[in-house]
Amino acid sequence: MAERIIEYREALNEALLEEMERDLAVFIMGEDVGQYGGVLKISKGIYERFGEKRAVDTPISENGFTAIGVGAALAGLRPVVELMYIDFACLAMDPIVNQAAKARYMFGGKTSVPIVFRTQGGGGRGNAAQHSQSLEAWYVHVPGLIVIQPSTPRDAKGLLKSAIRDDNPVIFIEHKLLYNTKGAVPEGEWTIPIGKADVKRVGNHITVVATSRMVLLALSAAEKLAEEGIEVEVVDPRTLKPLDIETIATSVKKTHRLLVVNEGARTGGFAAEVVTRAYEEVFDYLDAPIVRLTSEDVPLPYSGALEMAAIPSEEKIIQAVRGFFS
Amino acid sequence: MATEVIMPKLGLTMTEGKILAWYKTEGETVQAGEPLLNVETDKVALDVEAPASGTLLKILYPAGDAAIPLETVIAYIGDKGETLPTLQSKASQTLTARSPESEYTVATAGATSSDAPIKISPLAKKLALEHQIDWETLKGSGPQGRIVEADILQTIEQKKNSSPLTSPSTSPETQAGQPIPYRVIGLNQTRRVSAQRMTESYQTIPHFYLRKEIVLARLVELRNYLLPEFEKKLGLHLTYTDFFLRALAMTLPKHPLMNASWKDGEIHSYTTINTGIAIATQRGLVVGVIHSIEKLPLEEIVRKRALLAEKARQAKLEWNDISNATFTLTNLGSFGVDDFDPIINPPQAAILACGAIAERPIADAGKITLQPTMRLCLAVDHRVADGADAAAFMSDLCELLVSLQGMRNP
Repeated sequence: MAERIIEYREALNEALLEEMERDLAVFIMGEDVGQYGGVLKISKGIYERFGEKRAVDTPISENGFTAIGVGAALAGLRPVVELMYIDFACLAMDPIVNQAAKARYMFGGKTSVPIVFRTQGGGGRGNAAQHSQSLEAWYVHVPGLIVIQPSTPRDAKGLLKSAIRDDNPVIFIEHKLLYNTKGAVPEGEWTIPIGKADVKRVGNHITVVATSRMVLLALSAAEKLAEEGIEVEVVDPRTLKPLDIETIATSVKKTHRLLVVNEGARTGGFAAEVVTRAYEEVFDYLDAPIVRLTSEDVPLPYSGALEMAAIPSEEKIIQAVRGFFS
Repeated sequence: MATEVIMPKLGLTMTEGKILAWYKTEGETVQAGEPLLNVETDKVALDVEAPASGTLLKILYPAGDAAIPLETVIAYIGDKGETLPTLQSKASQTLTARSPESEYTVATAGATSSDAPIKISPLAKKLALEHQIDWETLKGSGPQGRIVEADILQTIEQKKNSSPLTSPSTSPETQAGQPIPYRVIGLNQTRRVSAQRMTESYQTIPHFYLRKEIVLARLVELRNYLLPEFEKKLGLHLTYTDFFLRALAMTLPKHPLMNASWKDGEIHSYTTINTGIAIATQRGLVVGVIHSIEKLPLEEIVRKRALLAEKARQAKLEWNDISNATFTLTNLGSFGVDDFDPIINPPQAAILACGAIAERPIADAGKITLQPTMRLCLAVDHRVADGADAAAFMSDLCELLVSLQGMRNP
């Protein structure tokens, strides 16, 4: 299959266009996703191509339009609702957690909620505490939701297409610092299965499980550590829930060491979940205590210097890995 | 109020125990008196019964290699959902369990580093267990001194190199100034206790030895004659050891100083004869005991000796099977050993060693003839008995083994 180098943003846009072309039930909805083409330009060209009925601009009312989306999904459509920042998704917790995640189960499987909530999170752009959070752990905690965090253009396209086709509600979390990143992406019809982790780099000495933008930091840290003779294996879960623990366990059984890097705050974060699952699966294979590297337990500072100090960096990953060997 | 389950004292010499298995898991219901866990003491594995009925609320020490001091709280039984008394740390429990004399030094020393658990990675521990490596003596090379996989692999490598059986030709010659390659062989509880008691015996008991060689032609005949009868009628294999035990049972009552203990400046002479029999097992030497042997006919001795040997092989000796010996018999005849000097098993005062019965040249009325003989060696605590006392005993015993008067029945 032909591949081109395109941006993460373009890969998402391509996935939306292809899925809307393929299935009439798919439509997008959110703040400025229509005529304006999306604040982050993910829905560029969709309004022009499919019109206002399938590219629905909404008022600034997350609770309202998210609930409308859930209703549309229950009625048989396949909405892709954009929540501009994951921070704003706090306003839409009820339709997501109490309705979308529960309906299929509470109606005994007689209905389903095929909806994708597209949103983006993460810090590093000086957007301050209310626009920089990594709240993936909240959704991972809710039974009934699928949670995806793609780290590359390739994964972004392949997983968004799978998310739209899945009959369960999916929280699809992008990262604001990844939109401009580039990578090879197959053209046309092509998907990545949900619930399958990806070994982004092969190494023998330590496994680093990283999510979202942390995958890129882990890969660049791995390059530098290789110069010191430390071969890092980088595993990207891609789907946070359901978590592909087999791939992680297989890697740790080989390397005997595990560092988990996640941008969310430390306490009660997604990293803690990976650490626990790993202890359950591979305790007897560990040659060192598992370490997690996360953001500090603080509302992210507006100051660029302080913000960088609060979130994981390439240098912090290098230090953490070195700590396993000295 | 939750009931404490403590590491019980299961014998005189027991100072600590290892938990081999818990029969119940946390949250399970237990009845007072039913087996709750299996504890390995100096020499045996014993079931410990639940002291109370209720729910097993908390297991403080899982089954494993840790030697747990006596009276340490190891679990709690109580009502479901009951809150436990404030859980003491393992270190402080160890303190409360120490005997009064050791408490002072420990209290002043505070939490010593030896109380801290040994840092070892799960992988390293698993490897060490698989290769029977005692990691407690290793120095870890990982961060914070943790023992890691590499340390165990290195030890395995050393073990290979130092084992003459696996690689005799490749083992490097030791250079002056270089440490001799070695491997550490872990001690189980049996070996640990044995080492401690033998050292104590050899250093504190003034041993003396009497040796004698006796002609056992008649005993060999008698045994060969009785062997099929025992086999057929009783299903028992009659051994020379059984005759020696019977001879001891008949001789010891007449020699009170041989069946005695040195206790705080006094001699305690026992009024019953409990003979210990040294039994080699995979776990090390254990001494099984036949109690009040002076009252038993030969058949009964054979039966009891066979049962002890079987239990020892299966590591199923119970506390009663190994306690209160007053005299020990050790026989290396089946290994072809001619004679050897045994070490007294305290608090006993004497031990008899028997070698192999073999044809040896004997001066017989001015001629040398070949006859089946056995060499005996008796070790005695000189505080309890003198050479003459021991010689009188040896003489009686040997006379009996030669004459066989009344060997079959009491």
